[in-house]
Amino acid sequence: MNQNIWVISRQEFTLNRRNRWVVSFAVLFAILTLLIAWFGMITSGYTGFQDFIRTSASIINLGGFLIPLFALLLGVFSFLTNPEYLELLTTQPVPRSQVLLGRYLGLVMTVLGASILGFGLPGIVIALVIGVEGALSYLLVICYSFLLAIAFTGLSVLISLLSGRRQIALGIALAVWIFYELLYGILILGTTLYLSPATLKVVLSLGLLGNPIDIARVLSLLQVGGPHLFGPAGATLIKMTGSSFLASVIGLAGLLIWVVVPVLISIRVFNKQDL
Amino acid sequence: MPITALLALLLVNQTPSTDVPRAVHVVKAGQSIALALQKAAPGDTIRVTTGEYYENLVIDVPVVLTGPVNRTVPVDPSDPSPHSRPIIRGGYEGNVIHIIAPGTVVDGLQVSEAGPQLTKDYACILVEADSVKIRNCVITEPLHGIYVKAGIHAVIEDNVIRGRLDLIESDRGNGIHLWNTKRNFVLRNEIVDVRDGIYFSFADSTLIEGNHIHQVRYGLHYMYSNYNSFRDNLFERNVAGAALMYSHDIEFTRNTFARCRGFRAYGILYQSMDHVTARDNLVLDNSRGIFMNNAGNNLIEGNDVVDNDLAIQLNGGCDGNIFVGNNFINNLSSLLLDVSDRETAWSDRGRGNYWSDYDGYDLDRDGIGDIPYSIQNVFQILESRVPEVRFYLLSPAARILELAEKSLPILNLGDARDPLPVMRPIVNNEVPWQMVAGSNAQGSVIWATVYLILTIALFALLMFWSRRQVSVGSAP
Repeated sequence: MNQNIWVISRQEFTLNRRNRWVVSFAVLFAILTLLIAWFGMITSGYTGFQDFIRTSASIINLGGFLIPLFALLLGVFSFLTNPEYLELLTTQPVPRSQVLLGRYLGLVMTVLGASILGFGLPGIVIALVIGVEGALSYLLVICYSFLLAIAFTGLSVLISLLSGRRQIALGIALAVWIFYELLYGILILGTTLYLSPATLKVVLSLGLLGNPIDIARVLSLLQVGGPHLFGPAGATLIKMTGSSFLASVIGLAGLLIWVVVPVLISIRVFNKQDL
Repeated sequence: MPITALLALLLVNQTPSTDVPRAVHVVKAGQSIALALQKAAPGDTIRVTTGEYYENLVIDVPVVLTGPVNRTVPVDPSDPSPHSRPIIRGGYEGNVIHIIAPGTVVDGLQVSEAGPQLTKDYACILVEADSVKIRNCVITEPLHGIYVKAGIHAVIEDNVIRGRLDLIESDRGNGIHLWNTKRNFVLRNEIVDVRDGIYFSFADSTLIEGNHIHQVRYGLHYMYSNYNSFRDNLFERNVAGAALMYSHDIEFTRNTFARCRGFRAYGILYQSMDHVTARDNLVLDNSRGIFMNNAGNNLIEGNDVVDNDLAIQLNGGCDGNIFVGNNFINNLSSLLLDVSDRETAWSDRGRGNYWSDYDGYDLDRDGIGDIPYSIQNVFQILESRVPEVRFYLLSPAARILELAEKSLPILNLGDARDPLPVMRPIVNNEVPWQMVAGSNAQGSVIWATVYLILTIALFALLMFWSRRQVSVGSAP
């Protein structure tokens, strides 16, 4: 990797790691997911696999709830608490794109580092109860959740750059979070009251791609529960895409777009920005 | 149930011809069973020594055809090739054993290699006579395993029937195929890898008990077969545990329908059924637990419906069904309707069912919730209308909609209501939980360790990566 990006990202990560706020999030998240895994897999225990679907869904939902919020807030705070730091970095003989990428990667590492205990430790419980199949499925669930976290980190960088002031950026970040977490789904479900079933088939399926949280959740459920978890909708999905694997690939591509596009836009914005 | 009692009576009164063997003909490896059959008189025993026999037999005198191991030594289902049984191979042509003499007994043989032409309905053992007993046999390479065609009162017990894995499902035959027959007993058989486990067509008054049917299309498949009962069977990993079609007056108790998973997979499927009683069954871990289409006047009582993606689906033409005293636990969705539901009774004689997601209260402490349970929540109603809504299953938005509807009930949640939901799971020791106790998944300590090490290692790696000294603004 480019030396400049490496050094800047390492610096960024180090600064964030010293933040007590980040540490407490990591601890809280790990405790919550461990509790979910414990009560979902061990104490309820009817048949294992259904518990696995529920437990994974709970962890995905908790991750989808907390991680984007964490990523958004972390990015905004990091960029806009000391704007002079960014200005200082740009005075160095380093291209702006590398400065931005470095800081972005440092943030990504922070988010992953803060959530790795929370995602990894439940895997122990799942592997103990379900075994190889569950362990491998859950590994993919973790990957999807990480991609989701990375996507929102990119969004937070973009929001910080575009708004420029911390209060505004915080407001926008919270709004973005609430929009994707709740409003988007409610709006999509709301369309069922107005559109015809034929249109809805398209709106509801393609609508998934418009929200990284939805993509990550559906991909994870597809992994742990199989396409038939979605009943006839799953059959439609298979018919449209060809197979469960191809559906996952398309979803993954959608998620990757959510990861890459905000960063590309951020670099463009930052290159032209008058600091 | 009077039908069952009558059947049991018949079994007791039946004096098997096996009790009075007159002569014993011993057939050794290399000799012909057909030749021995020609010499045999009615009631004789033909004892076949262990070995391979390439024959297509027609049994036209009532004999006992037995291997050296008879019913005193039960089938060991875990033994893939029980060498003690003589193998009769049909060479993939026609039926292997064709029984036309009433009262014939086949015991302790391995019967293999029936002709594969489905249009000819070949079977390893074709029964066209009354009061035939087939027991303790292993049937391999079948088209149909055992085909009872127009004979009555067959007793089929303790057999193992393995279908052909080299054929696609639609080219396979059924494990036990019953056509135009009645008063049969099918007991304690294991059936695997066939099309339908036990297929009934115009087969009335049959008792199915203690069978284990797995990895087939339909475990049981009733067509136009009335007054039947089945109990204590285990149906696992099939497309449908039992597919009950176009029949009436069926009673089934203490069966397990488990792990039917797929787009068209059902624990129990009712198609145009009347007066079916389901009691004390376990419907566990299926894509859809109970599916009904055009089925009326059925009683579903005292069953445990647990861990299914969808507990109940009711399609058009279902009326007069009663669901009472069941436990619906941990299902992802409770009920899917494609029409409104006014005709189903969700309670009877002062009590309803237990629903694990009921969140009402019980102020008078009588064990019955004080507010009715709306079986469908707003998400399931949307889902009934547009299946694709299910992509948003378990999403925060779906949960918010449910909560909002509960606190501000302004939407019409349909007519499906349990007026008397039970507060705690109903204790019913008849439900056969012991058959599939626990999980079929094996935990893995190795993988748990892998997770532990990977998590800690990655975390530690990141921690090491961070600098000891923070030097803001240091030039790279």
